[in-house]
Amino acid sequence: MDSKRKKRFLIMWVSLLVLLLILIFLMPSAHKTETIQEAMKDAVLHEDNKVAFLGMEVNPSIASDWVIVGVLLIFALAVRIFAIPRFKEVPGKFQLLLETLVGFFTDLAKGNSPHRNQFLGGYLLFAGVYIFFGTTFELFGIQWITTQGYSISLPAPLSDINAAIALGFLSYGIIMSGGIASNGIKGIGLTLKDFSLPISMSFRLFGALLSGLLVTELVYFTMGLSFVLPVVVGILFTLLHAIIQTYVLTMLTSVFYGEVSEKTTKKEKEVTAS
Amino acid sequence: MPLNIDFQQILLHLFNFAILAGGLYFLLYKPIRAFMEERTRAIEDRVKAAAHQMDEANTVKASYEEKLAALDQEMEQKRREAEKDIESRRQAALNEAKKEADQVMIKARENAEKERSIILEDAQNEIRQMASKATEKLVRDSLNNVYDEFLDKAGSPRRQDG
Repeated sequence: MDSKRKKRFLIMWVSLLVLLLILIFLMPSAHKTETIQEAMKDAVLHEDNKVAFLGMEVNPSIASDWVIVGVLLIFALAVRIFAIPRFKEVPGKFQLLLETLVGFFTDLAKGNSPHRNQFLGGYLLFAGVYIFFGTTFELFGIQWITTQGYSISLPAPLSDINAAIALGFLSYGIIMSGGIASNGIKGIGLTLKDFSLPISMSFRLFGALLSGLLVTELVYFTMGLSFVLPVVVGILFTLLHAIIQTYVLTMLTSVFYGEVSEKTTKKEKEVTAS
Repeated sequence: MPLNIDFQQILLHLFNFAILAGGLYFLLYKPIRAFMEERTRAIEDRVKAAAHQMDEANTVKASYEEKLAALDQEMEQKRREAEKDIESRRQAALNEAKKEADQVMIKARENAEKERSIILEDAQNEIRQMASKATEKLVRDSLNNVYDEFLDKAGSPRRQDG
């Protein structure tokens, strides 16, 4: 293609884009089913759109959970059956990826909690993988049918406060289990000392996810911002806070677990000769 | 409940978490960690074995170095002994040569002395002969003179007594 034809093609292409843009903005839009307030309120509270599960009406985040859990478990099963038996001493790329993932959470558990860290490492792997994939899940926009018959895009599960509370309290329960395993009843006391921890962990997760969600919701809602910008906002913000939240929650859990699972030594009473 | 907090939803999430956590732990985390630990152990064993072999090699090296040092010392001693031996042989040969030279000198001196005495004797004999010849000649000449004088005197007209 010579330069003259190329130039002509470019001019035609740009003209077509401009024409389409003009038409988009000039055309009267269809009646909006919900206002921005309603959309954002539903994004936060999940009160309107429900999905069916075993005869119950549940939030869409539960459906998101099923998809994530299903996909991750199938992946893990495939890895267990096909990849792990073929592991070599000098790892290939895929083995290296898996070993880096497991090694990262193992090192995090070992570094922050010298005692009973095998179980903690496993939990951190779950929490990390779940938060990362649970957050990036919203990028896929998987469609689901609500009980009212509408099609919705499944949200990130942690944008539902119930999921955030569940993960926050589960992490707190894991921390407490470490305390009990190492120090018995005293471990409960050591864990209860940080009673605000489950709330702070839950709301931190929820807040981080919610802020990202609200920004993207706002961007998606406004037609004028629907070009190019959502790519940056959606992908970049989502990836960024997925990584940050993964690291923050796993690190906090391992630090508190290490603190309460450390064995307390009784101070020897000095025997003074009377 | 505020913020649409629902305990049933929380429990449903916990149920999902429990499934996922258990699944990931048994399917992914435990076998991969076991594999990594086994590999680490195997590598550590190999490192230990290598260190042990290194220690053994160092011990052998040290013993060889010791032997080499002893050998060097022995060689040095042998060299010194050989030098001493060579020196003593050289000295002996030198003494022998000196002795021979002395003997040659003495012999030469004796020969020279002998030749000198022979030459001297010959010369004395010759001188003696010459002296004798000269004396004889002198005597003969003087006798001839005396005889001539006598004959002269006897041939004269008057004889004093006779």
